[in-house]
Amino acid sequence: MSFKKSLYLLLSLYLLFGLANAKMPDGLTIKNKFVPGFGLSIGKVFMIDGTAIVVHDNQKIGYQVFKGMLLYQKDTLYTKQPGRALLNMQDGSQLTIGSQSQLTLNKISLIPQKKMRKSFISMKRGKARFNVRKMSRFNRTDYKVKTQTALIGVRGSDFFVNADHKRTSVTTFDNTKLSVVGIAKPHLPPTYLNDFQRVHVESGDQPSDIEHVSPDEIQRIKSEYEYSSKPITKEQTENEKSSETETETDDNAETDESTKTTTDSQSNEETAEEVSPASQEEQPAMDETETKSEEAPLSESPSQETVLIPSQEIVAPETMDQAQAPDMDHMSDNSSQSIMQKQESNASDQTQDIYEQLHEKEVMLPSFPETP
Amino acid sequence: MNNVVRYRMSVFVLIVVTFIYLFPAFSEATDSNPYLDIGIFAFEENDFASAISHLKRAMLKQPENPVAYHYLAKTYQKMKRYKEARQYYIQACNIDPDLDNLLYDRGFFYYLTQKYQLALNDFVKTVKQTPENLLAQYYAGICAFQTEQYKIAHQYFLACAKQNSNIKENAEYYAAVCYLYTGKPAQARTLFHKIVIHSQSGSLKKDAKKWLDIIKSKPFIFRPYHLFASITMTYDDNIKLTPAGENVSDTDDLVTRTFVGGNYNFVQSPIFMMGIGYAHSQSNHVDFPDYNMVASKGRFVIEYNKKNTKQSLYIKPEHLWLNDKDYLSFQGIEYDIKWQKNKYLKLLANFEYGFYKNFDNNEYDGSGINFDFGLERTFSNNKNMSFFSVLSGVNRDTNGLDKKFHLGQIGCGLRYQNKQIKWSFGGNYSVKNYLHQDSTFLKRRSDNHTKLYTQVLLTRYSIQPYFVIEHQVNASNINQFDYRKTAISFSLQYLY
Repeated sequence: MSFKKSLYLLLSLYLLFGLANAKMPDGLTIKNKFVPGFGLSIGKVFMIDGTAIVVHDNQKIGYQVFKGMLLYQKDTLYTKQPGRALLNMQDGSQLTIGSQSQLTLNKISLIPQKKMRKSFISMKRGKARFNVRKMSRFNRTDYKVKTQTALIGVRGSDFFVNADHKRTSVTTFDNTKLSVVGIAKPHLPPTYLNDFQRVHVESGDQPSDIEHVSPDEIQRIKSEYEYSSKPITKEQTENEKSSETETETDDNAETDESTKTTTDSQSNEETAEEVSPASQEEQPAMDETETKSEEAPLSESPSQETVLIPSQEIVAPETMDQAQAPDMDHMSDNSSQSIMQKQESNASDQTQDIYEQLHEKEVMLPSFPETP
Repeated sequence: MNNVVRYRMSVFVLIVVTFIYLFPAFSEATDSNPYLDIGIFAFEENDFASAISHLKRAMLKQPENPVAYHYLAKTYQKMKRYKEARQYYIQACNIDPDLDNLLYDRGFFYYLTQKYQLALNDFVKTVKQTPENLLAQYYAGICAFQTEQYKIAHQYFLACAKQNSNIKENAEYYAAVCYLYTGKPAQARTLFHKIVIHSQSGSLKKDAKKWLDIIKSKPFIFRPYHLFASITMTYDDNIKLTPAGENVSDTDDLVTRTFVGGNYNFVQSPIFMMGIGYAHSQSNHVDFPDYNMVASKGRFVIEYNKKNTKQSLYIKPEHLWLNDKDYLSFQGIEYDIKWQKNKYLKLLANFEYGFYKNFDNNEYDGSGINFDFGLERTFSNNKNMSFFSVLSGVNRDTNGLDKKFHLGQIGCGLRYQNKQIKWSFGGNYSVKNYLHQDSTFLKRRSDNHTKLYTQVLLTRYSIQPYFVIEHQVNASNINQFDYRKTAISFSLQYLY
């Protein structure tokens, strides 16, 4: 093997493994045992292929993503190389996240009683396909996806986003209508996309002119972001890399020494799944237990699910005087002390009153018989 | 239809179709507000400066959009700029009070700024709209607790405790404290026991144990009812009030009094109490059985405690029998107020108005007004010791003209109290002036009365001994009403 070839091989291997991880926050500890996030769940991981980490609300703890894992508001997903995840959200929408991506579920709210949906998802980098369920009977649906350069407003759409810190590309599939605004120029009118169109948004700029996307390319993207029975191949990985318009020099993620990760992938629950091939026009097949109908929520019913509340929102008794047990032996200004003293005083006053009734006030009674 | 008309029709249809096609785009253009969306993202990512900047632009673009104001309020709240936050909450509520999550967020804002009643109102409404909102229930309970509405608070805490959540134990703890404050110690004890056994939190366990100790050592504080019984033996050396100087033997007597009474509070909280009471007493004289008296006294009481003031209203029906015959009936109403001005000074006032019916001599029938003003001053160098003083007045209006009188009295004394003993020493001096000539002595009677007493109660025992010595001197302008007497009493009393 010539020197040049060896060099290329080494470089490929370096790129392959050196880019293995999407950039994780510093000091992140990966734990095996999953702890739910705060509040009620908003979705679930339907499929995971490869490795991904989820972090709740900017905490310093990450959890290996597994099939069936519940998702919560402000969860951030980091997919590795290889790493793909299919998420089912409570409103019936699906997100397919590609390798080396970072996506945050900022705010997901579905209120059927008020016919309202609000979803705010930010995607810092990577690739993802959004299959957003159209809620035509809802009065108000706000579904927004934000990248570092673009803001995408969605009604009911199937579209693909490829983003990094310099550029965002949005490609629409069929039955799609969405608006795209440049983050740096929100005062300009949005660009509206219909089926099979693409637009790019460079950093600091407004959306480019609309391009039409060929059916072949649509098919290719769709097939890459559908779940299949085959595991991710090196060819697919290289296809992903080559389809990137730029490689970020920042993303030459040397493995962060301060990031501790478990290398034993057997500690994950089901990472790669063998599923029946799905038609490219259809959504991937779902387990029967997942949903009975598209209307059914995907998370457990609130009564069964354990709801975690952040500790800073729990009011400790030490912060409320009247909640603390008083020290009855020592006088203090403690509020519960005064309440107890009041109650004790009331109780003894009442008994004293009862007792005083025995001692008639002599001025009130006339003299006894036979007294002058 | 000619060609011109057809042409015009076609153009018209074309314009209409184009407009319809473009309309969604137009409507989307008016609906979309990228500044608002970017502002919301910035808020969710804790980039508050950027959030404010974009939300304010969103507000300018769509002044009637309450979401921008809502998020501005939330942003300022996160930055602890509560004045600005309040303004934007007001504006958001003015535009759309039913905006999603607005009530809860505003309630939490009021909670953070310690406006607990306002916060409670908002959380209660939120819970009604979204019963599954666990935090709204929890904070409704906390705000009700802070405003001493313990009955309301405990309902919300119990609802939270039923949920499968990490605030379950905390909610149970507060619910238990609420039970205590509303006179339900048994339920409180159950919950505290549960916390002691199962809780993961060391501090909750410790506090729960402390409460259990208090319930065990002072059960009567929390009980809604109290029972009282006593038996007293009194030696009185001048039972008939025989004037001094008269050579009369056998003026003394030994009297035994038994007494039972109780009260029940059907509403009990640290702020408000409503209850009924009853007392029955019987006295037996050894030498003068004609003076044996039976008294039956009821009362209905309402008490209100707020901050340092306690106000009580009593309705008191009473009936007395003398030697098994109806003697006296009294119906009265009394208002009492005590004000703990500071740690050392308590001020008191009492007003009573009542009607008397004397079955033995209807000249004594009539009405009477009593009032007292007093103070109690605790010594700063000895908190167990206090000085008390009372100024009293009585006006009696009777059927018999010579029975009407005015009385003014001043009294003072010292009191010492600790966990084991209550001792008091005092005296009072009164001047009683009858308004009309006495029918027998043809003079307007005027009495000066002096009384000295000392009382000791030993509280360390469950059956408490009580010892009293009284000495009275009455000096009247009608010699026949002069008298001196000394009475020594010993009682055993029991409080449950």
